[in-house]
Order: sequence, then structure tokens, then C-alpha cells
Amino acid sequence: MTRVPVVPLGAYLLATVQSELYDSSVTQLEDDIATLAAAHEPRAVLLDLRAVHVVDAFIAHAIDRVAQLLVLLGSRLVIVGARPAVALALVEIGLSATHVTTAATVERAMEEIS
Amino acid sequence: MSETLNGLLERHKDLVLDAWCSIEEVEDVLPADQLRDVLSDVLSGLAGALESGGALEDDEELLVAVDTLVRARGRAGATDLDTAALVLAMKRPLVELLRDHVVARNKHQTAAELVDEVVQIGDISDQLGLMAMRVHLQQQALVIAQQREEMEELSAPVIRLWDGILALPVIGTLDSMRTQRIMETLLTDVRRLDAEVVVLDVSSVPVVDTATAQHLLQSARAVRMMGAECIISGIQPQIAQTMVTLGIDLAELETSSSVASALSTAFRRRGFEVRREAR
Repeated sequence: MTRVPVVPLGAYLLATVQSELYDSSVTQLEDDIATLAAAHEPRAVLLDLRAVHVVDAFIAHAIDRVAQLLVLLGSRLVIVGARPAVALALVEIGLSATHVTTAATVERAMEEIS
Repeated sequence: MSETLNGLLERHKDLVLDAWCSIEEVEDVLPADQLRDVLSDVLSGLAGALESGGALEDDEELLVAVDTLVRARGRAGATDLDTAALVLAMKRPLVELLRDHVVARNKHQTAAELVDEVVQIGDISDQLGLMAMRVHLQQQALVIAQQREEMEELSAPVIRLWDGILALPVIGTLDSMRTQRIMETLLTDVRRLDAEVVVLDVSSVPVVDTATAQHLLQSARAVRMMGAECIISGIQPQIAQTMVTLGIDLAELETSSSVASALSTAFRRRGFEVRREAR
């Protein structure tokens, strides 16, 4: 299992998924984001999904939970670079673009939020 | 009895082939030697199929031979009727072969046996004819499927209006399958062309059912999930009613009355200003 690194970056947290997401890595990611978000109080957490091709319901729900959790912590989740299949899977489980911010690239995500 | 016919065919294949190739009713679209080759393959396949004793249409070799024949003639511009006539014309050389065989061997064969063999030859040529027809129909179905695919691609072109602004004019009636395809094209192109705003124009779509409306909406949501904006333009009254009946949260939906106003919204979003220059 590769652990997804969550890096504090100024007022943001950046989590870049390097390969596909798996059940275990996404659970770990949930914990990491929760801990770090509480510690750093970021303005937003950028979840870079550019490398991800497949998202199943479990992972989609995990991402949904992260989004809600961040709202509770006074921050928000930015989905970055979702591929068509990933975007559809996320929409399918009811993750609405009104609950998260989206962007095609990390740069644009930062422009959008600042 | 089947053995007799089979043996005859094996031994006198060239005779039958010669007679078959020189059938006059059939227009020769293929060069003589090519026609001979493909017909020879059909006869070999037929002999093999009779030998094995199974149903003709299940014989792989025969099927391939008939397929090659129909394809070659189809490519050369023969009509389906002509090809069918050619395949059925095999009946006469076979019957003639049988006749010569009886005369040559002066064999005592009862009339009933002879009739049986002729009937069998008739069956064989009928089956070959049907096989040829089936191959022909399959090919036509293939052509239709291809054309349908091309038409579908043409009916939902993704247009790059501006750097980062895409438009997708949807034309014609939408069903679930088409919507699905359009959605796939759209999402792939959003990524490929690095779109920031997508205008989904449905002004040429008169009516949709609830499932399709749901699909359209899902596409709009997915586009947003990919980090682009989706503006649906030109929603017709009937579609609007369908969407309202679905109880869709309109807050998450960006709409506009025409492509023009959608484009101006898109420009605004991207920070462009369009104005007429004072002269």
C-alpha cells in the first residue's frame, strides 16, 4: 500500500495521489487529512486525483466523507483533475459540486480559492 | 447415398467447377481466375462438410469460403440477386454430373434413389443460397451499424469556441444511449482540450424523457466535478417541464436562454470583456 502524502503548503494542504487509490490507502488518507486539517487549519485541502483512473463506491464515499468533515473543520475540499470516469463515479454517489470546489489543475485550484 | 454424391464431388470437382464458372446467366464481375479460386474453395468446403456429415451451415471451412465469395463479389459491385443466382446455379452442374455418372457407369439405380439424390442436391444448393444470403445480410447490418456510429459522432460535435471554452450542440432526439455517448465524448474532451467552461446547447432537442433529463444533469455535474463549468443553454419548454417535474435542484444548474448569452457568461467567467470599439 502506498500512503498518499499530505503536504502543508502555506494556507493549503495538498494531497497528491500518485497511483490508483485502494480501500486501505483511502482510509489512511481520511485519517491523515483529518489530523492535519485540525492541526494546520488550512483554507482548503486540495485532493489531486489526476493519476486516478478508477474510483469505486467505497472510495467515492470516503471522498464524500472527507468533504463533509472538512466543512465541519471550517475548511473545504477541492477535487483536482478528476478524469471522466472518476468524475462520474463521484457524481453517481451524490457528491455534489456545491459541497466541494473543483479545478482541473492545482494552479487553477489555488487561483480559485485565493 | 450421400457417400455417392460426396465421392462424385471429390472425384469430379474440376468438372463441376468448370461448368459452374461458365454459367452464363451470371454477370462476371470478378476476373475469371479469381472467380474460379473462390468457387473452388466453396466446393472443397462443401465436399468437406458432406464428408463430416454435419449440418452445412455449421461447417467452418464452408462458411469461410461462402463469406469470401460474397465479400469478393460485393466489393466488385455485384448485386445481391446476382450472387444468389450464382450460388444457386451450382445445382445444374451437380445434377448433370450425377446424370453423366449414372450413364457412364450404367449402374442400376432405382428411380427413387435417383430422385432422392436430386432432391439432396437441391437441398444443398438451397442451403448454400441461404448461407450466402445470411452473409450478405450480416455485411449490410455491419454497414448500417457503422453508418449509425458515424452519424452519432456527427450529431454531437464538440466545438472549441474559445481557448478553454467548449460548446456541444446536441441535435435531434435524445435517448438514454445517445446521451450516454454524448456524455462520454464531452467528458473526454473536457480533459483533452483543457476546458474551463462548457456550453451544452440543447436548443435543437425538442423533448426528452425523465431518464435522459437525469443523464443530461449528471453530465453537467460530472463536468463540474472535473473542474470545469457547465452551462446548459436553450432548454425547450417541454424539457424545462420535465426537469421541474424531476424536482431538480436548480441552484446547482447554470442555464441560459441561448448559446450567445451562454458565451457571454463564459467570457465573463474567464475574465474576457467583449466590447465594440469606438470609431
